[in-house]
Amino acid sequence: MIPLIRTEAVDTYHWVDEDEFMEIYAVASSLPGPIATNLAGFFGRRMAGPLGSLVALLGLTLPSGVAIVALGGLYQATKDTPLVRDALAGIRPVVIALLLGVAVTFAPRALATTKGTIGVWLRAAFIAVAFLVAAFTDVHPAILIVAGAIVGLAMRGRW
Amino acid sequence: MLGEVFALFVSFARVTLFGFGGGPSMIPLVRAEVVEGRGWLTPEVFLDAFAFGSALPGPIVTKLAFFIGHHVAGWPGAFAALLGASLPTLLLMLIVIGLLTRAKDNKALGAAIGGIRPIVVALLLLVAWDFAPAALRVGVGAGGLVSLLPWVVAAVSLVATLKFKLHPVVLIVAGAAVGMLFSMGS
Repeated sequence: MIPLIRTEAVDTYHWVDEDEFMEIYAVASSLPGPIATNLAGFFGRRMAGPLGSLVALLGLTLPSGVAIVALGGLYQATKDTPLVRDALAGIRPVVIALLLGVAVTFAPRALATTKGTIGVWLRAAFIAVAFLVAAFTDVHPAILIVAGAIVGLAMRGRW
Repeated sequence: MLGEVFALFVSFARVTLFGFGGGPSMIPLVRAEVVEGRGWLTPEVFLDAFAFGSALPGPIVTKLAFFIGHHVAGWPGAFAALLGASLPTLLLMLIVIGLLTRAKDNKALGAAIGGIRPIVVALLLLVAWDFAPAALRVGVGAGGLVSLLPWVVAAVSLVATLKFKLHPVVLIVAGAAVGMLFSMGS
């Protein structure tokens, strides 16, 4: 989605130049929150103030939002029929694969290090420890994220 | 009703404020809020919503916000969840963008995010891990060769998504077809 936003903002409408887009993207991706909504809201405000921000946000999210509500309605109405039960039983293993796929696609950024093989192993071990803590205790994910930030600061330049 | 609309806003605001690393990093946080925290959705309905969300284009978190918000409190709920998922970090971005682009030294922030990313991977793996027994129908159904079918579907889908970059919608439609063909739900 980010390359599509870049095309609109830089090539089609010339809201910003390439360098400025990359700078804005860098900020959006280092802050929390969905990157696409942050970018849409930012460009909306830059071009047309707070109302522009809201319009850009709705333009980005409303089409797929309405679609998923429609699909959800269909799902709620039919999920206990035999045919849909069979279909869902076939879809759920796909979901496992999609979730693993997201994790695997994200992993190179989590393992990125300036310290060579040792750095990669340290980071992989950290993933394993975090997984075990999350799986076998009731710690809220937000606490783990804060803990990760603290470890990241403490290990700065060392992994 | 009004209480639930407000609760939706707060829940999704919490998700987005801790969601470092873009949309996918927020999937485990959404689950913690709406399945474990508030009990708005069963684990199965949450994962089904994620399946529909993956099949559609657009940002994943706002799609989940629409689905869950609408499920809990109709359209007001959907918009409350959407605004919760997007406004807090948007305001944060508008406030700090001047500071961050001027002060090029984001090293501390970069170091913190370097520690958060492994956590995100672990949390994503955990969502898959927790849901795997239900999705793979461990200990359910007829047994024999048919009980291997979910594992085959998962393995083939994993290869298809990682190696061949097939769009989720293709895999989900294929999964549904296989499920109906082999009556996987019974």
